[in-house]
Amino acid sequence: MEIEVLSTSGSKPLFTLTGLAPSTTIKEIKDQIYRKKKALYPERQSIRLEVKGSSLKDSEPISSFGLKSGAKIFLKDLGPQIGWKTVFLAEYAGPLFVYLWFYTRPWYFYGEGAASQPISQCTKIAALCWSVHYAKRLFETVFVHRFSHSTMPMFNLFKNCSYYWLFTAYVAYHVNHPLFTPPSDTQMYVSLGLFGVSQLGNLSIHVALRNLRPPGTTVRKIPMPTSNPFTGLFNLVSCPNYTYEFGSWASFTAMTQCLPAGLFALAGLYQMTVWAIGKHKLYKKEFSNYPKGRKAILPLLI
Amino acid sequence: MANKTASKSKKEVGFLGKTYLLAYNGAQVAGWSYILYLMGQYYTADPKPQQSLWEIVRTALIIFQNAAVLEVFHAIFGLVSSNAMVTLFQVASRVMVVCGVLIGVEGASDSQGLHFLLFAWTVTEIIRYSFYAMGILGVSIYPIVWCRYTFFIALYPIGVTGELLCLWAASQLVGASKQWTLTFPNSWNATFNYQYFLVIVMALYVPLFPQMYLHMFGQRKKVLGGGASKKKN
Repeated sequence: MEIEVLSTSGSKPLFTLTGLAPSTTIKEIKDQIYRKKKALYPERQSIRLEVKGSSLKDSEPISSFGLKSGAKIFLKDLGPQIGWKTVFLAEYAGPLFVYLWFYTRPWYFYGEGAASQPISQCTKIAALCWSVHYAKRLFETVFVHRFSHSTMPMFNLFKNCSYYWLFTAYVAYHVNHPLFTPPSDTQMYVSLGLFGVSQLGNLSIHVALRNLRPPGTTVRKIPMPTSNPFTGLFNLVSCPNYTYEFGSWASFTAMTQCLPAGLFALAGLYQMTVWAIGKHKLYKKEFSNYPKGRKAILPLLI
Repeated sequence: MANKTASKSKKEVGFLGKTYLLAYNGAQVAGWSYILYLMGQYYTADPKPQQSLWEIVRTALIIFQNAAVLEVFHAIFGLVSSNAMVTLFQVASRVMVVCGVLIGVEGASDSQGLHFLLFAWTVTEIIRYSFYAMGILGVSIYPIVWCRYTFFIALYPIGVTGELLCLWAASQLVGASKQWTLTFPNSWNATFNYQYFLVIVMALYVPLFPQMYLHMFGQRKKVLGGGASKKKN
């Protein structure tokens, strides 16, 4: 059978694909298109039934969409792509290096002699926390996360790295400053404890989500608490990993009593709330038996 | 009671809303025309006036430019079809220049940029608000439509030049006076450098101005189209 491929911009006819069977998968369609136009590697293609429709899954045969010979499908060029892992590694490695660079108090940020000034206990602990956090993220990127998409648009690399690296510089400049004023020991140590709890919580959720999905698949199931007590937060929110993440940064802010760190925490909270609401809605749409009473990110609130 | 915002699912503005918008746009046309009139007086005055151009237009400019903040709410509440974010950026940049630079920084209004931006803003706003008023009344006067979608080609760059000159002048003055600048140590471990802030605002023009400029060209193509097909009176 034959299928016509139209572009999503202006519904322009692009290719006619021949020699297809009902069992031909979307992936095979993408491969055919790729053979016809080298620039359009499969990860750059989004195949839809309508111009603004959702992307059809690679693994599905065309028969599951009721496509007969002569049918039309739409192709959207997602633009140059880059691997998710690549982006994550770049955006997380930056903060590690940038923060520790500021820790050494380079003279061009702090003036001569700054490096020889005493470093407060709080500043040292903060540097340790920051490093542990991003080292953990790098570890998770390589060993824990299972990604549903293999790529994202190339521009995201620039956008994401700017966000992380510049914010790191902003926070690091203040916490590592020779005139940085630590809060009380009590405030510092209690917050440090909360930071640790949040880190463990976040890691626990990431591991639980990984185990929810068999390797090599993109299966989606309702996340539930496991034997790990940190995962109990699933009873209250759909995205407890984001909850714990905000917890980490709120704790870091209290630990350093640093307004820039607070701004960083709020920026992250805003973005994660947007993502959490999206994921929460998707879960509810996908699973008719999705637990009521769960919020998206902040228990009882949002 | 007057017909409130219509029960149709499409955003239809009722009589009360339209009256308000007409009054708002009318007031803005009047206000900016007045500012232009003051400018005309200043430039043609013989001998040269005692007061500076800034001192002459200052009050009217503060009133009518800051009133534009209302437009963000018009967009949010659906009173107009404009995009709230775009409106926010446009109004924010104007308010930043008037409040953060011209009023906020002593001496910034001496910049030559003031002449550029006043000229660009007054002409643009008189046309723009007239265009909106027309839309509410349901009339289309082609010369106004044409001006709205053509004058920007020159006025946008002229206005931006004026704004950047004033921002720059302010940044130099603030660099010397350390105005609105917070340094270490303090209990919130925060710093704020108003000079850096002004420079960052200037840097934002680099990505944002081309986008807005090209957006207007796109609008021009859509509205004025090929030319002949859109001529209406």
